[in-house]
Amino acid sequence: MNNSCYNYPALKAYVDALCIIPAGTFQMGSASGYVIEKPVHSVTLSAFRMGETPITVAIWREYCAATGTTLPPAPEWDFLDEHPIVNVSWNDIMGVDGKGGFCAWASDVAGFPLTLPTEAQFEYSARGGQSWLEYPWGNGFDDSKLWCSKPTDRKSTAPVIRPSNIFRNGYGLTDMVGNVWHWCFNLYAPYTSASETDPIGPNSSSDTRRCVRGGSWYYDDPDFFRCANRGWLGPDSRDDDIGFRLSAGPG
Amino acid sequence: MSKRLDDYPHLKAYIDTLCTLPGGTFQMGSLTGKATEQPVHSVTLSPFQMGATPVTVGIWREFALELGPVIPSLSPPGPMELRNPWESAAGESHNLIYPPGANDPEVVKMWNDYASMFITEMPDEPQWGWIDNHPIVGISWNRIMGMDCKFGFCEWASEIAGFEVTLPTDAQWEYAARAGTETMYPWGDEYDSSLTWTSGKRFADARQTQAVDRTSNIYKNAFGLTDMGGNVWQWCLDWYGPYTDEDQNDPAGPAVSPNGSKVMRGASWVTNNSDYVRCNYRASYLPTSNDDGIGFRLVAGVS
Repeated sequence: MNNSCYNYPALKAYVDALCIIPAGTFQMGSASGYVIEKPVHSVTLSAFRMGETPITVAIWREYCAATGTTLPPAPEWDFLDEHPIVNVSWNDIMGVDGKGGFCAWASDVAGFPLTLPTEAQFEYSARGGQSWLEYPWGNGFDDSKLWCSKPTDRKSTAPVIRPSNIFRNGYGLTDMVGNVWHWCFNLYAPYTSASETDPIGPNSSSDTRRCVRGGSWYYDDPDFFRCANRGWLGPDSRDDDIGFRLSAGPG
Repeated sequence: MSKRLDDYPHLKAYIDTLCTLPGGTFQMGSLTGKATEQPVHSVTLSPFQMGATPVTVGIWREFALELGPVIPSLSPPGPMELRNPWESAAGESHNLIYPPGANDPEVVKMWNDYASMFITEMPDEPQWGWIDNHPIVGISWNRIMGMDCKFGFCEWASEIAGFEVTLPTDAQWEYAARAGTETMYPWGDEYDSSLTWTSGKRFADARQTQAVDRTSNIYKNAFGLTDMGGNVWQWCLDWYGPYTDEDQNDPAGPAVSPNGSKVMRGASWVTNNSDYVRCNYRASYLPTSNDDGIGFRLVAGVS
């Protein structure tokens, strides 16, 4: 099978548009937030690349066609190519026991490793270079800058390219809060006060839940859209407000 | 050693703010609700007092620090020092007075084993830790009522308060949640997530309990009660069983339970179904079980 990236224009476009996130140190967590966001601790990250948007339905369709994988169940609004893919589990993305999954295919096509961002990479890149701010855009919640159920209840995800309810942060990333929750690489674990460099979370845990970040179209509580907000779900979980984006090395 | 309410500031604050509920008759159950809420039947209750909020971590800590009734311990050559299971007060311990002449190690062991049944402890900490003004969670019905231990919470609280405090009955809970209304939810017929603390989309996405004295996501009903829907499920006194259609006075539930469970009311931070927040909704759980979404509040009589 010819796995040239030119056979997969949607994936190719996504990979071509990966944003460069510079190395740096930031304070991860929130002193004024929930207990699980404490203690605030120093994290240093090497440079990496991050998808500009969530992975779309169009890209996931290319994966399915290439690998013979069945599409997941469609959400109520159906699968629309330019919306984030949803109803995909951590296992669907990362494979099980190191085999299969979306990232294995995408890495093969791209010719370099593509994977889920770590929780630290997600928070750092969501903060967009101004890491002391509560939300990606500043310290006040602003419902015009994201796709969520405030002030109006939403009934679906939003297309990743859209003219309103969107915010592009200092690293060029959009939908880092709102639209869909994003799966992260890490197993969920409480923070410690120790400074960390390129942390990836525990190697194993009796708690098999993986971290999710960003909140989604469903919520109207601004708490969910703070950069420090954490969520966690079992690796088999699928829901119509959970998706993901890719990360890669610095290139 | 006599215990004064003044020595337990968290319990004292709770007792001092008990709400007095008038006696009255109401229709218990729901014609449009679940089978477990039918048949609707008439219930008349005597006046009673009810905690304005769920019992807090701060109050349970006061219980956990307590050694129960004074049990003389024997340990030559001097008083035995029992380490406080809640270590926040470093080095705090309870010195007990010993009868003279006790020098037999076997007798000493027997007495000390007996004393240890009276030591109470905090339950396992939830993920967000213990915060004084949050509802206590992780406690079983049995632990509250003293069924599988020598010294339950209500026995302790009653002794200090100077009058009996206990769990509300199923009927008292519904009557209190309704506060004279007939609406579906404590506040009205439309679900309003801004008036309660529950999860939105998935189980447990609200992350944790909330402070009982918070100013948002809260609703105070006409009886002065808050968190009668959301935050924590609350244990009731009754065994869980089907309703019957007879008129009842101060009912305390069936003598025997079809499923061996106690009634639980009120939904929690974990639940993501607005159905559970309705005044009529009944849940049940084994009295030996506990969960980080289950707490309780107290009731007392009116003298």
